[in-house]
Amino acid sequence: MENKITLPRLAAMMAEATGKPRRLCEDFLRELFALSAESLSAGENVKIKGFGTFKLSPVDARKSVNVATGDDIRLEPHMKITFIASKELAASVNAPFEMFESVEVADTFSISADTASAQPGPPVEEVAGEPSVEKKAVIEEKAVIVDKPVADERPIAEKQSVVSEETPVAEERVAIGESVSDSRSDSFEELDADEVPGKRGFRFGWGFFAGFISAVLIGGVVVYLFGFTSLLDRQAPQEAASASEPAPVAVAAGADTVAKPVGCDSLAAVAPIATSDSVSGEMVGTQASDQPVYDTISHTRYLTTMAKEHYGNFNLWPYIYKENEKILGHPDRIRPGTRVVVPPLSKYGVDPANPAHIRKAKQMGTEIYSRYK
Amino acid sequence: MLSRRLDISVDTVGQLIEAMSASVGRCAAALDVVAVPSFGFFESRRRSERLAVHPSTGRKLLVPPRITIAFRPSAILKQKVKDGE
Repeated sequence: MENKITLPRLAAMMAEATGKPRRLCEDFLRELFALSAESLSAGENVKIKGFGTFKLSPVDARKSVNVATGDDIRLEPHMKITFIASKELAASVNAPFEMFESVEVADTFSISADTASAQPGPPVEEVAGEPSVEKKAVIEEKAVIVDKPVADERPIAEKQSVVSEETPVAEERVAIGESVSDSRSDSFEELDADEVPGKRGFRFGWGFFAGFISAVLIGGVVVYLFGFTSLLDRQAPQEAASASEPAPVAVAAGADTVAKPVGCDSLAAVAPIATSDSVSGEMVGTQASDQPVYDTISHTRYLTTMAKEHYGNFNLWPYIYKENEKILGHPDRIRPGTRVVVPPLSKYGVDPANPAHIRKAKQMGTEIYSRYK
Repeated sequence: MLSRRLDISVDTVGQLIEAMSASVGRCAAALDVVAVPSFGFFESRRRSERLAVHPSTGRKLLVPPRITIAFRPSAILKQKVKDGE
């Protein structure tokens, strides 16, 4: 993130992907861009199939200012270089958000400040990748605002979200972090009023809250250590409902977790670390074979994950769903531990490389969801 | 298609382009910047979700957040284009 990838580095990635010698990839890249530069300076657009097009567009003369001196200058008419990514590149770049689609909303709908944390109605569903990063930024922002004394508590919460950024549980913990920071900033504001009378009272409130949170977290850890199997039954409905959902995780869950009392959330959060560790050992082989394959839903493995692994495209999850229709209910609410059959693509005559099939799969997905709305 | 193919075979070129596209895509998805000397660099732009209006139906749409890739030409390239034209 925010790294600068140089040409040799890019060449190395390509060499890894194709198996071609790194030197060749490097030379290729240099040649490619040199050639493109030549064509562009000769006035030709450069179209690279599967990558994108470099276009030249004429730009009129316009008045501007010399940034160094402040004098007015005139920019001559010239050609501007623009790049338009191909569909494949654009999709690959948008990978973390690729599963989202535009959704029609009512005419009266409007985006307000609240929408950022608790999204309404049918719209954008949460996913672990990007949003958790953005949410983390929100938390860190709030952490900065929050007073120093409670610093010991915050790092624990944040460290957890950093560590498990990849897992969907991050959303959970992030939501906790947010709810904690929300309630924190609430109590902060509340106590702010009291602050004027005496700073002592203010400090006391903070210490109490910090103690309460740490006690709850420790309690959760203790429960886990004592084998949460007895609690699992009670936990499972909560977990299934709040912690572990196949992506895309429905927004309602996000709103729920924020609303639930903090204690509940931290328990649900601590347990998933354990389960996802143990369940991840169950990962099934990923070759596409003609034999039907079994896979298991877990906190980290959703239908889309399986589709991506077995079929090469997460949009094909409806086929896995269809195969297991009888035992599955709402696709976002599949109990972790559910064993599903991953049908071979040949059974439905689906080719992952065919965009028409992908579109059909997406339609199937929408249709499945509509059954439950 | 590439208007001219130099040194290597056509298939290899195709493969390499595909690999390049995939690698650049991955970097951009991770919000990294891909720099090509004397050419420019490819960077990612994050677009937050927004309300849009469907051009033909006029209905309101909620467009989800997305990451886009943008290209910034280097000064050298811009100069070349200016001179050449």
